[in-house]
Amino acid sequence: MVSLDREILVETKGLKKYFYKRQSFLAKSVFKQDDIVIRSVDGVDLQVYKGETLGLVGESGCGKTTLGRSIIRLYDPSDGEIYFEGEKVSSLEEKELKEYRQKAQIIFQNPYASLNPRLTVRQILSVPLISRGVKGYKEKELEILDLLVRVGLSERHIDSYPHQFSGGQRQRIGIARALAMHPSFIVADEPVSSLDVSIQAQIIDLLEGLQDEFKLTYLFIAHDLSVIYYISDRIAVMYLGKVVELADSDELFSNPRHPYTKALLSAIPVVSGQKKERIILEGTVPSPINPPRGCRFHTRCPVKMGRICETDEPIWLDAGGGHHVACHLYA
Amino acid sequence: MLLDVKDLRVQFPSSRGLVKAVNGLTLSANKGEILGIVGESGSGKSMSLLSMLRLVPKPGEIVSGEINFNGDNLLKKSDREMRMLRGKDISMVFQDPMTTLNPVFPVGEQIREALRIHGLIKGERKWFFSDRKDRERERVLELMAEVGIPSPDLRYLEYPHQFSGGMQQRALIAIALAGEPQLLLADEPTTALDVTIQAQILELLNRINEEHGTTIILVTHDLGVAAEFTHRMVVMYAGLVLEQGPTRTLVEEPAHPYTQGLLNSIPRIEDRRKKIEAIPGTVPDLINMPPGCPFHQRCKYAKRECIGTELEMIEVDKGHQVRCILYT
Repeated sequence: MVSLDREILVETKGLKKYFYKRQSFLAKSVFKQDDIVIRSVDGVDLQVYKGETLGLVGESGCGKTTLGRSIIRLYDPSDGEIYFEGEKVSSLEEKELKEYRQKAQIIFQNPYASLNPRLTVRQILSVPLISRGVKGYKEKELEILDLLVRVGLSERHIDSYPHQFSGGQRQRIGIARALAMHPSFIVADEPVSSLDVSIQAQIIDLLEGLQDEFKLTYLFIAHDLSVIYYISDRIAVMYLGKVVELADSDELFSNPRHPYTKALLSAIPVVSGQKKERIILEGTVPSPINPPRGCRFHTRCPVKMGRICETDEPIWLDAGGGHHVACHLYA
Repeated sequence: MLLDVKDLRVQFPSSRGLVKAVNGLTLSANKGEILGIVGESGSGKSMSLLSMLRLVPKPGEIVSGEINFNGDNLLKKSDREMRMLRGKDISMVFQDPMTTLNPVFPVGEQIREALRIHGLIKGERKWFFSDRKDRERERVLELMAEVGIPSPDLRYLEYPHQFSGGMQQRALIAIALAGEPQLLLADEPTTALDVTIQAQILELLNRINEEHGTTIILVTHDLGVAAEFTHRMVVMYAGLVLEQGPTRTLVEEPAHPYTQGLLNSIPRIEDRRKKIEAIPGTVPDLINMPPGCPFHQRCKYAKRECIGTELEMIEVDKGHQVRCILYT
């Protein structure tokens, strides 16, 4: 599905985002403690092609949300570069950043927390329109109504407050707000994980419809593998701040290479009751404060080869056909 | 039959009117089986579970029905009798381990509490002191090892915040197992956890079921979990059971339009090309419930007769019952 000559829309090179927990002066001077560094995203190279949906999957705490937010510059990257349509956006300031944000938008995970409870839908949707430079009451009004209908709400909702909506409807408002900027790239940060299954399907349908209509490119973040598989063209698997495997969706699911991906896939309960070999991983994800040396997965890896996994960081290998994996097994 | 619930109704008064959270629930659980209760949020599945332990939060109350556990009606028991039952014959694993464990007591002590309250371990007198506490501690270490908490003796005195989510859930399961219950109620035990941890916890529950023959009622909104880990399944909607039967039958040949809709709305790993179909609309308001079938507003087969006709469960196959006008 992915041809090599496809246009790259977003690209990250060695993107890192560290969070610091500063120690007190006393702790530093007397107890010689260093600042605590949380390596949420630790060197990610990723290309998002124009018009595709790139799924980003991983367990909680693996840095997928941080990566998504860094890409649209809600966080300032600690290191590395981000390119959008070939232009470097990782060091943009103020005015240019505003322009960039018009093209790159985000849909947040929690529709209960991401809408201001004191504003009506009209006010919420006016903000991006004003920022885009839509002038005149009438034009704004028309566009808001148009947006509402697009995302499957009705015109009578325009003066309602967020608390009057159900979770699925709120997520629709969040989507309308992102669309109002006429973006070409949307980071969808777990847009369906807080919704019930029947509502989840409605939102996925909506997102897919909008993608066709507006030629959108999505970075779709989720922890639910079946949703990711359904919606994505390619999937990147993250573990502890790094992307460990990247491939076309069908390729990844039929032929996973990385032991972590294999375990992840085998852990999903499926409806069709075919009994499959389940790889149960020991323990939990280590802390990103002191990630394991070498391959970060070696502490839980069922097929660890030996010392090399503990000492050397695996390189990003091309397994052919756009399938990349970072594992010593294939070196 | 271990548990037999008949026509259970739970209601909450509110300023707008009565909220009928559970609206005539009838179900039974046999000894040694894993029964799944599936439904969306607001379908009354958690409330049904809480009412089986008579833990419905005020001002809600059980207005009618019967809950027979080993032949005794739990609704007729005194509060004291219920206290003796909870955690011993019937125990429960809650959804969110972070808020269920007490943050100011060590985890080991919280497991020991379950043993102490029911006086499950008798001590012997040595000099002037009983060695009960030591024996209980030993039993706690056994329990912790059984649920897969590594190096239990080191973790006995650790506090909940030092445990990861999966480990906290294991500790909760250890508390639930302390009384060697006949019935274990699990309310979305894996919802707060990641898939790899979810697999560990479900495996553990499965092992408990096989080794101890404990009956488990698993409440979940995840059809995949229910399909893989339960023997029988109950589908709830708006406080009512719409379909129940053996899990395989329900998943392969769902009879009720709602069950069919649910199955069609989840993306399948096995078959990506299959287009998902959303169920239009939302769950009805539990205060102004539409008369008749609660699903008729969203049902694609809805007919005029669906409105206003209260249906009973209809047996379509052995052990497979459905509440739908299409099968009358």
